Amino acid sequence: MHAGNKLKTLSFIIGLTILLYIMSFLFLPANTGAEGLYKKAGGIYKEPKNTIGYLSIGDSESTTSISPMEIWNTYGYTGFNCGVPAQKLQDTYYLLEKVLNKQSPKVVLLETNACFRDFKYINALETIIDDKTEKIFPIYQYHNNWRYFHFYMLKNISADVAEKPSPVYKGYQYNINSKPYMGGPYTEETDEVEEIQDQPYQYLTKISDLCKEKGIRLVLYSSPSPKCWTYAKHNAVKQFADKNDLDYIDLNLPSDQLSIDWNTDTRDGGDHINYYGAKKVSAYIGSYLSGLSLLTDHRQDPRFESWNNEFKAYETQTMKSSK
Amino acid sequence: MTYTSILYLSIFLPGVMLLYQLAPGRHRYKVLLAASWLFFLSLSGKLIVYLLISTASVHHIGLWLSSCKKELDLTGASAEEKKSLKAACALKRRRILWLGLGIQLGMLVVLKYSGFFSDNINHLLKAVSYPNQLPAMKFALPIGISFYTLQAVSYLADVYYEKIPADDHLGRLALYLTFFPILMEGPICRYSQTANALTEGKPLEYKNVTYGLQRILWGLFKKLIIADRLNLLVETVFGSYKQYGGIVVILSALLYTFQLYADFSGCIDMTIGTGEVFGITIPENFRQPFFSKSPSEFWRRWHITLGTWLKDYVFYPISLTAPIKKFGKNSRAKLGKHVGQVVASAPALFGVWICNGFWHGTGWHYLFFGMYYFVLILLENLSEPYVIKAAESLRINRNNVFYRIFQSVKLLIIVFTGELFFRAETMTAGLSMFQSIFTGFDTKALTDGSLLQLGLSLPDYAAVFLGFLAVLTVGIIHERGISIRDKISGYKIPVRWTLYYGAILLVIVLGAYGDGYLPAKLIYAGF
Repeated sequence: MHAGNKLKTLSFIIGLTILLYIMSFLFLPANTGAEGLYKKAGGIYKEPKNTIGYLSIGDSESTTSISPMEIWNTYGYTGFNCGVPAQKLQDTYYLLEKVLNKQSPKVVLLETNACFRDFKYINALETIIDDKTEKIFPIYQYHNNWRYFHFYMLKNISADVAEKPSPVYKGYQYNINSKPYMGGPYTEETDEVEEIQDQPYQYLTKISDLCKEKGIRLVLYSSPSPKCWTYAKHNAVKQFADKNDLDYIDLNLPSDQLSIDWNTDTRDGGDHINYYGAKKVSAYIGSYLSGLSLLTDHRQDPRFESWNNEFKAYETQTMKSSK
Repeated sequence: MTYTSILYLSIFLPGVMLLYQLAPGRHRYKVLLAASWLFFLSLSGKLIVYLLISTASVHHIGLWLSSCKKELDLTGASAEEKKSLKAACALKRRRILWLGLGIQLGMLVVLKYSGFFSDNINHLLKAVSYPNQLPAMKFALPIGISFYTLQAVSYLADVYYEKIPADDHLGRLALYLTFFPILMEGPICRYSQTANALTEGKPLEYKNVTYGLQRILWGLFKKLIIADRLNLLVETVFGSYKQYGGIVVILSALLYTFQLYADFSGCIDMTIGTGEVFGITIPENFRQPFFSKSPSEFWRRWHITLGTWLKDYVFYPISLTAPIKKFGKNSRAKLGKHVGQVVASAPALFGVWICNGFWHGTGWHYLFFGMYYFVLILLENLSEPYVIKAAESLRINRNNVFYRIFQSVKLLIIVFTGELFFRAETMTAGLSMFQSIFTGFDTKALTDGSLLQLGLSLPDYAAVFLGFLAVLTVGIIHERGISIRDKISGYKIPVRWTLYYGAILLVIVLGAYGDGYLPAKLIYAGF
């Protein structure tokens, strides 16, 4: 390659880097305090040291199912939703390990959907590269905000909630979109067991061991999801929970009396629950946490004033859509 | 790691380019081979053992076929002896070829089809109340097995027919089978098309690199903006097909066809572009298929390398067998030249389409898909002279724009219907969806907001429409034989770079990845 062409190539790459950097600023979401829409583990790192009482971890079934603000309002427990959409258990483990360097939660709630997402070690490398790229050029992370460009980037006007990016409160992604699940009953009992593959199993065990080592109560839970959940998966998780002496809350089973209304409480036809569903799940989980008597009510504690302030914002946001 | 991942685009590909350029010319193919095997390992891990068996056996059998011919010593033999020696050699070569084909196709059949066969045998056993069942057979499939097996078969057949000499260079043969850009979705290359270029070790050239990267960018545009976005709607409708009917099913068949085209041709663009970067010409696999006038023309423009492979290694070999030749002769004698010719070609055509259906997957709906086109193309061949005659007697100009529109609409309906069955989860689901077009037809879906409940929002539809316009425009320009990249390269740097930066940003911003989108696999990588 001629020297001129080398120079051209270099100039092009530098130009592109600058352009991506500038564009990234344009695409950052308006609610920057929430640390983005997904891959938002950054949010937990901003919490002051040892202030989080419980964590919820897992994939999008976790992100959408537990709203820490609901639990704060009722019980005063400080929690953070660290779920990341499509996350593999391997990444969940490393995320937890990192978070535990700064926080000492008493309880970790692990959503079980990711137990059935098999992965290879190359995925870990892909995740690292993706994370780094998103940190350097946030446009990769926030590019989907182009659809809101008109509303909040240029004119900065207040549009309807549905037209804005979903805001995030303590890791919970607020979403009131509703698309009914039409598939009928899905909880028919079976003895079949859907095996947890080797690699997810290995990291499930590692998460369990890590929690044991740190004196944290690990609780497995399955968020209501007719599209993702099956009884065979329930049986596999139950076996693991029994073997490791863990609590397992399956919110799909009728016995748990969650009364999810599949006409209104799901945002995408039964894959994930929306805010209305999360409100019910959070109430259930809050009550369960309260029963454990491991967490402290911080609502009157002046050191946690910021939680009350964030709750006010959450309340304003949800007021309009509350049933 | 797939062709659209950041790891591949920002680390793997640039890393391979750098190492390739730094390596001495004669060792450059080793960089490509190591990269290809690494890529394979990243996707299929220990299943690489199947690939290695394929490679080693193809290499050995190719040389065996060649040595068998070379060893034929006719010196001093009488005419009778010569004839007998030649016949013995031909028989031996034929047996060696069958052994080679048996190994290649045997692995494919066992790994890919044994589950399908055992399931169906078990259904049959159950139907006749036989007490025993075959054990369930399901094997993990190595990535690209359907593609590299066809390449291996074509190599062995070409060596057998002495179209190419057997290659004693194991590295070249291995690279021919597994060059990383063609690994996931082809195209199905012939040895004579790529093998030499792969080991030539030409240094990277500025023009090749820029042209190649532009082609990759165009592939990303199609895959990320169109195909992966449409995936949401297609998954929703085909996944819960019982809930939908009428317009929604028609729309989903139409959009699935567009998704499949954008996904597959986008991947092929990335493949050909990557080849160009290294100075390797990979054969085209698409030529504006939706501009075709008939199903047979459509298949000459869609998945071209599979079509030509089936023509060369299924159609001709079947046509040239003695019974089929005899059948052809009788047909022509009894049914006249045209009809006899078409009927005579039917067995070979049947072979082609049953292989086409089976190659795509192990479901009855894939077989139906193959038979659907078999019947359509047979009818097309049969009716062609009558259609021409009818048009002449009715004084219809077949080049008239209205007639062309009629042909296009007819073809699109045929293609969309075929793809509806192709994408359906099962044959029953396909039939149910097809039926629901008529039983559940209601134009209300266009106005009551139902279309916004299928996974795509209004901005998503807008992005798809923008992508459609871009693909259509580029298709029209290519159909006129104009090279867009040549045109762009004629512009001055500010214009050129503005176009490049604009296209890159468009892909990054409008790409359907991240929050709210399903991680979409390359569709043909699953076949």
